Amino acid sequence: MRKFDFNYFVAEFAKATNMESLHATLEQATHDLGFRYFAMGHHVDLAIPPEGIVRLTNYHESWIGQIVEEGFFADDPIHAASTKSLVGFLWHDVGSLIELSDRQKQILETAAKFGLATGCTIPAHIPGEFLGTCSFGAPSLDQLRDDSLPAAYIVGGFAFEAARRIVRRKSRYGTEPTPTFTSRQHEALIWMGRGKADSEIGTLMGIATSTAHEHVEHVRRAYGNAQRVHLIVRALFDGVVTFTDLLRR
Amino acid sequence: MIDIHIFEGCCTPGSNVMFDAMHRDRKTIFVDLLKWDVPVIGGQFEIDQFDGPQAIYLVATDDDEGHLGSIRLLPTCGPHILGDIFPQLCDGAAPAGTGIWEISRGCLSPRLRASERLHIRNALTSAAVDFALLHGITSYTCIADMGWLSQILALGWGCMPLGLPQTIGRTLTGALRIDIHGGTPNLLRDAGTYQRTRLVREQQGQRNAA
Repeated sequence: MRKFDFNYFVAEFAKATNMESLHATLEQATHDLGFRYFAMGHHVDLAIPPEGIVRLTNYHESWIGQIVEEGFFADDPIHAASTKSLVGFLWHDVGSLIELSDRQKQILETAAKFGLATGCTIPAHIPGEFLGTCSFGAPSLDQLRDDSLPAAYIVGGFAFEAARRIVRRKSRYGTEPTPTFTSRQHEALIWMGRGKADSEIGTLMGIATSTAHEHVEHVRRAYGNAQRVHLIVRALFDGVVTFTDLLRR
Repeated sequence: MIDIHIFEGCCTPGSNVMFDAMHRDRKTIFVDLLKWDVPVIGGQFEIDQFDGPQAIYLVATDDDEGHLGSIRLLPTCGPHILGDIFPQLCDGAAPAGTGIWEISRGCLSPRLRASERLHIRNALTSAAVDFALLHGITSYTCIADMGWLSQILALGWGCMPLGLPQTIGRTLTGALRIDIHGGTPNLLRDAGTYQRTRLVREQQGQRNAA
């Protein structure tokens, strides 16, 4: 079998200056990998996508329409599985990563009718960004190469980075600095994320309730006077705190 | 601005507080957490055959010489991991030459919080780029678990795979070449990862006899 020419594709991805040329290169790479369809992007609400996100696909238009109209993206089993995995996986292994609901089984069955019976997904998660993936799909694995999965890593990784670069140059996304906190403010933020009230935070940190309140207020101001739930989500999103900080330690 | 300490040559266990802390953190990360099959000295230090006089270490420390994070640089003219242990990860010969150094044992202290991790990681990356530009290093090579590929690329520097990733142990592993040139700091700035650091050359520690 002819070796997969990753050098060519990595060079083309590096040269891409707009989404159109990236789309064309990614489509060609998808074909050479032995797949037919690709979808690369951040996981967001597709009905009202935020600005500055990556979303590039050659999935069948009526399938995309159905994904958006029926809100399939919110329950997408592939996306759900990708949050459980730092490494790439084949779609037929999804059942071992998450427990599939009836609706998720229905989504997989419907996707198969649009030529997406099988495929693989490469996560491209970056701290401080929406979760991202690059997926490759096909009606069957007949055309798959021996080295398709490792090669898909290279294609997915470099294509996603090219897309991030193009998006960055087009928008101000990602240039807003993440707020920084003192270690005490950070500790207060973690207790807040664990559902503690100011008085409890004071006790846990061995400080007065009023001092705990000041720490909490500082964090709120740093996030534009955000309410507690919103600022905790923002802090998780920015990578200022992690799920481990809030749930495991 | 954070100081990044530069050590030429490894110190023997027990002779340098900072080195001991680094080898201890490396043991926690690579042996306890990632289950790598690498040597452990005295039950607490991860030290391998490449931790010798030829290795250069870039190290971030706290005020008490505590280890926050570090990377190890090896000249590819001498023994190094890609050339000596995993040459099969390269389609051709493993890149070697005076201007090519290998980055390995990138390690962040497990005690760091999420935001500090990003800060120290970016500082070490920026220091590696500055160090390369100061010393005529034109390329780094490295071996990476493919789960980290996106994050390595997202640092903003120019990377090139040296071959298709292969399964080593339980992880898909690949080799990369990272090219460093005058424009690299700007690529990092563009990606939001460049941090100004002060490179502090340390008194050479007691060198291993190796």
